[in-house]
Amino acid sequence: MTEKVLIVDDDEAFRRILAERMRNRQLEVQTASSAAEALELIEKETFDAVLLDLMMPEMDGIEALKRMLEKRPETQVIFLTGHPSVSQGVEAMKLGALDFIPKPVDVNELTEKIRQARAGRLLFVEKKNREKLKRLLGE
Amino acid sequence: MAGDEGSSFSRDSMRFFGTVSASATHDLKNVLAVIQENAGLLEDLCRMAERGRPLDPGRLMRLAVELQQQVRRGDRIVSAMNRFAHSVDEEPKALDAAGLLELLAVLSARFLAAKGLQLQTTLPAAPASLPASPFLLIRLLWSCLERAASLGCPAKILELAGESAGEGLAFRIRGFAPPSGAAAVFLSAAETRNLCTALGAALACSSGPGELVIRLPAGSPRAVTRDPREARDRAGEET
Repeated sequence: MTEKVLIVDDDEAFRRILAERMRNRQLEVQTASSAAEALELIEKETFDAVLLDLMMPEMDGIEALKRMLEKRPETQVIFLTGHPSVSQGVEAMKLGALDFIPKPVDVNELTEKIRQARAGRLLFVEKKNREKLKRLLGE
Repeated sequence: MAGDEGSSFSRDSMRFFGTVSASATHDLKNVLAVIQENAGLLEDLCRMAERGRPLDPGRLMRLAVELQQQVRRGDRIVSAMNRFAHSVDEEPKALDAAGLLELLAVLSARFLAAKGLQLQTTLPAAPASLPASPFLLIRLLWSCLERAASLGCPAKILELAGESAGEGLAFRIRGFAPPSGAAAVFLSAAETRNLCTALGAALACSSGPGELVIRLPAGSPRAVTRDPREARDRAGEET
C-alpha cells in the first residue's frame, strides 16, 4: 500500500519540488503552506507521516506538533529544518516527533523514514485498539 | 551617558546584528534547500529516462527557470546582508532613503512573515538623502516596525514610506492598529529612545488611523553619530 505524506512548509518552491520527488517515489502527497492548514487537513484525513518545517509564520513547528498530537496522537511527525539546534531537536523528540532532519534533505533517506513512520503509526493504532478491546472485555 | 546605559546600547546593537544575520542566513538556507531539491529532481528525471521514460524538454525548461529564480532570490539576500554588514563598518555618509527602504524590505521580510505580515514600501518621489548612520537608522525603523506589528495590523500589511521633509527625511509607517498613548507607545522601549537620541530623530503619531511619522531633521550633528554617548557629548558641547 502507498504511504501517504503531508508536507508542511511555508516555502512554496520547496514544498512543490519535494512533493514531486516524493510522487516519483510512488508516495501519495498533500501539501500545506501553514501549520493551521495542516491541522485542518489532519482532522479530515489520515497521513502516515507529516513533514513539518520548524520555522513557519504565525505558528511554529513545535506548537504545531503539540496540537497535531492532541488531535491525533498517532501522528508521526518528521521535522525538516534549515538550522537544526540540539535544544530544539531534543524538545521536538521529547514532545513525540519521530525525527529531526536538517535541510537540504536526502529524499531517499526521507522516503525510508516515511515507511518507518507508517509502520509506527499502524503499530500505535493496533496497540490502542487492543487496549480498547481489553477495556470492553473488562480485563 | 552612564556606563551601564552605554554597554546596554552596545549589547542591543550586537543582538540586533545577530537577529538580522540569523534571519538572512535562514532564508539563504531555504534557497539552497530548494536548489538541492531541483538538482535532485533533475537526477530523478535522468534516472527515469534511463529506465525508458522520455525526458520532457518543457519540464526541464521549467526546472531551469526555477533554478534561475532561486539564484536571484539568493543574490537579493546576500546583497542585502552585505549592505547591512557594511552599515556597521562604514563611516556615516549621505544615506539614500530609497536604498534604505529596499534594504529593509529584504531584511525584515522573514521577521514580518513570521507574524503573518507583509511590508509594502513606497519610495520617495524624488531622490532623498541625509548624512546619518545607516546602522542606527535601520535599527530605529526596525524597532518601530516591530512595535507597530505588535499592535496588530488589520489588513496584515505594514506600509513604510520615505520622503523628503524640508532638508531632512521623514519615514511613515502605516497599517497598524492605533495605540492609545500615540508615539509614547513607540518610545516606551529604551532602545527606541536611545536611537532617537543618537539620530536626532522625532517620533509622532498622526491623529488618523495608525500612522507613525519618524522625522530626521537636517543639520543635526547627532544624525551622523553611531553611538548615543557620542551624540550626547556633542549635544553638551553645543549648549
